[in-house]
Amino acid sequence: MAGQHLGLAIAFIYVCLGLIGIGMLLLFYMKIRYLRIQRKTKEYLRKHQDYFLFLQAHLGDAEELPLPPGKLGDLERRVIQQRVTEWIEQFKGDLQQKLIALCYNAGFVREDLKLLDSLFYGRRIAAAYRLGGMRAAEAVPRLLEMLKHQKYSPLSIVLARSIAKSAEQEQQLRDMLIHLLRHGKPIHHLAADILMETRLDASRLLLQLLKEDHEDLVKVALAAMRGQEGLEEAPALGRFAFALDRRETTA
Amino acid sequence: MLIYGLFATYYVMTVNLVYFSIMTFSFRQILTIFRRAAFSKYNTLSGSELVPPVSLLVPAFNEEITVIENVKCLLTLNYPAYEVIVINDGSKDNTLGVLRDEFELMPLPDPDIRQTIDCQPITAVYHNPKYPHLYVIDKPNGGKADSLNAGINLSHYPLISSIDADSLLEKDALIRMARMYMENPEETVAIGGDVRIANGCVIENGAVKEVSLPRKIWPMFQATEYLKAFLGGRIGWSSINGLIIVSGAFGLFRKDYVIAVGGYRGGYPGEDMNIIIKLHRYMLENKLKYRIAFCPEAVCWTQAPDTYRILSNQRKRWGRGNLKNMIENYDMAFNPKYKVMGLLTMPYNIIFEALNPYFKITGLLALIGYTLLDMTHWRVLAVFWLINFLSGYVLSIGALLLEELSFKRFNKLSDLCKLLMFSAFKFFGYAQLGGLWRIQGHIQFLRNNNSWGTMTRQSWQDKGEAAAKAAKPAKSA
Amino acid sequence: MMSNLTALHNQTERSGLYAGIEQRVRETAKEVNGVLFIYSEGGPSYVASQVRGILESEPGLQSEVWGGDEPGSVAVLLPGLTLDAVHYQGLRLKQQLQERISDYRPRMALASFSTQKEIMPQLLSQMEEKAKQNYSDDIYIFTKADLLLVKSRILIVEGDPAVREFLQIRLNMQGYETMMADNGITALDLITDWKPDLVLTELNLYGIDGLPYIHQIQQVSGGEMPKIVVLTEQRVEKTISLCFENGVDDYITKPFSPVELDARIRRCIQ
Repeated sequence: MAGQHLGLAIAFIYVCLGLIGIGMLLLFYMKIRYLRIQRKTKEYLRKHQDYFLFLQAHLGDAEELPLPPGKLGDLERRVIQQRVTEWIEQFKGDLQQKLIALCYNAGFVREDLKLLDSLFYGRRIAAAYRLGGMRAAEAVPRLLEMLKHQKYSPLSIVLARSIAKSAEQEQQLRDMLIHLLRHGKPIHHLAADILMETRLDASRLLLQLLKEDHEDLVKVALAAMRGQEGLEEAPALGRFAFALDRRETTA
Repeated sequence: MLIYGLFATYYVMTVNLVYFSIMTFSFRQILTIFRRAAFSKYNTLSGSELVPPVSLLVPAFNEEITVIENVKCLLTLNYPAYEVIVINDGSKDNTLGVLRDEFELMPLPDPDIRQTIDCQPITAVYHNPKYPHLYVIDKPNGGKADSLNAGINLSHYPLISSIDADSLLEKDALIRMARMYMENPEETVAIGGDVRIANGCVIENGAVKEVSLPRKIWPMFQATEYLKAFLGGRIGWSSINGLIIVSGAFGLFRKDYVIAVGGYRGGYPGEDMNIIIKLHRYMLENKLKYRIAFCPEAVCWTQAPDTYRILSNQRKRWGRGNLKNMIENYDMAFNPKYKVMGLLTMPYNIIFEALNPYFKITGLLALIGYTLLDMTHWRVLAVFWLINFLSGYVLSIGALLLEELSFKRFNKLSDLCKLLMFSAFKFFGYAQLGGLWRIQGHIQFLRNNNSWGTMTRQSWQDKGEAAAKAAKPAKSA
Repeated sequence: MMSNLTALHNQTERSGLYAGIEQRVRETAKEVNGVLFIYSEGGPSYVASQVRGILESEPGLQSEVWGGDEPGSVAVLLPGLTLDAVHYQGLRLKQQLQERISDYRPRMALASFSTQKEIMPQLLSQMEEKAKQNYSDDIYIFTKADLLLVKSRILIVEGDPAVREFLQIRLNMQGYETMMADNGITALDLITDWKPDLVLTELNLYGIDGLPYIHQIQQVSGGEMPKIVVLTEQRVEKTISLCFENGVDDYITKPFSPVELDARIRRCIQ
């Protein structure tokens, strides 16, 4: 009897040993790969420092921003794209527009659009995030499609933000809200925050949403206008008008 | 004897299999966690008027050495609207004095305190309009739970967050939690943060600048332990909504529900586990849809005890609090009314956590006795020990894989080797000590069943000493 | 005696170089002209020919290259090129030279002059000097701002390195003297020691931030309070109004328009 138990126990030990071996291999493989990418990224950032300075110095005056001279590898392109996206996130107006144009001309947008067809979910989401960063209006219909089929999760928010950043039509923003809110979660504040990432005229958009029959859309608009004051209170007209006014001056 | 030894062997295998299944839930979640952290820009959210304001509650007992630095760090979080409420729990040192001097605080003539939860009467509330978001409550000593309750009574905002006075929040930690809250505000009643060990890290301007592993062995063991518990355990448990604890060092709560369950329970350690169990119970008994979430990307750094004495005291305290919580809530176990909590979490914690050291030690003793009777049976003993070691090691490696798939906070290859080594060393003594401490904690519990206040004060003292001893060199470095 | 002679010789040779550039400018008859100086101490003497080769490989690019008085010193005239185009050629040159010559670390300065009249020997000499003293690895952009004798000082306080660098480049090119800090504590030290005219600052900082930080600026600067322009993610109404009540001169939220930022800073400083 004991032998039988011992056999089982020994089998258990072998399974553990196998798992430990596989785990260790994976760990070292992943760590080394990650460290290599880190090192390369640093190298490229240093290599292209002159180019980054060039971009920043001439954002205002250059007609069209070129890529750095010479041939670029895949990771190298990704490093540049990331840096440019950082600026796009921080600026608005003409300068932002120029950087967006750079992403188009350099083919960054095209490459990420292609990745939206990838078999791997992880790649699709990463591409969607980057497309939002580059304000790629072209990608919006695809992103809306993705959001429509996405089960509600933190990644729905990632998609919704990308759409809000890139959309050039009010209808697309409305669709985004509908898809986001269809799960029945009371996330009007979050939705309002996402909505306000838009480059479109926010005050006009909010007024339109207020006229909607869809209760959730109205709630989002109210949240966007009134911050944290809560939705239950009767609309305070003074503040309402003030919020609109402020958005106009900053838009 | 053999039969009992075999039973213990199966017990160990089952414990680890259960843990392993919980970890597979963690693995299922980890990529989503990685992506939601990598593909979110927190800077826009951290200035948004749409983020709910939070009251940070910081109980302080005899923290005069560290409290200034910690409050300064808490005042510079990336968060749109929040307040910091420090509760001086009748410190015997000059905690209140140093706070008053540093921030030029004056007593508020007419503080607006609601008595929603019972606590020691508040002596005074201090404030300075130059630091509009800082309040200091002074009150007679009543323990950590009592301090938190006092903080809740003063707090102005709908969310509260409890933070240990000797831990360090990352600048983005709170906004990351808030993002998680905003994704499901109605159902989320509590969110726990990830606690990591700051010993060995370079700290500058109240922030961890360079992550490194501890140099001393006691914190090093704890580092591997924390990784396993937080990444391997809590991510998995939270994904099936069976989380039983949100670390007292850093958690976010909905104030209305904390008040509904009567606030924190004093008198025993383990008030952080207690509040979570009470929340589960309340929500399930009232048939409300809810979740208690874990947010591993929100990180709180803490100074781990680095001497045997302080560490053993901490673990005994945990053992004591744990047992109290289990005894208080044993009715939830195996009760289908309490769903995952009743059918999985509570039984797991009673059978596999609280009773774990007894089974392991008696099992070992039985097999040793059996072997002594007949030395040819040493193989059985070896198998028992190997199963213990290897299945535990698989879990450690799993936790490291989780870290590698998501956060990658340890940047050197040597760190990985060191973690692997210490995860193995743990089974030669440290793990056994852990069991021993837990049993000692249980014995303490049974002996001092009704000594309330002293015990709490004792625990505070330990912590004060730990912070003073461990924190100083690293924090000024 | 000997050294005097060489000095004199150098000077004539140099002014010969500058005169050569001036003359060439008139011949090409382009109103806008790009100029670029490359220098590397004891650098190889064949740099000039390499530069020529690199520039000629670009179709349609008009250029003239002079070897300077020292080996490794090169002057380039790029007729018709505006600053961004000169800068881009500078990038290309640097990259390709570094590919061809191992361990080559050129010091570079470049400019684009919008009228022929501006190109004068003193100016060119000043520019060459800038190139020689440019010990950073970056390419120096020589603008009108370099000729200003009195500059307003701006302290840039920003945690995000990408934004910090951008602000520095932009403000430098507009003729401000800048210093940078990435946290509140360093910023306060710099305000005490360096006495900037204006502090352009984020509100979310390490060390100290928000309103206490604004108060502290007032305290450490004593009587001569710098102007404070806040550039921040923080968009909460109440914080903004508290900032204005406590002596902040302007408040700009991110994402921001750099053009608008320029205007607001100018308004504050005047």
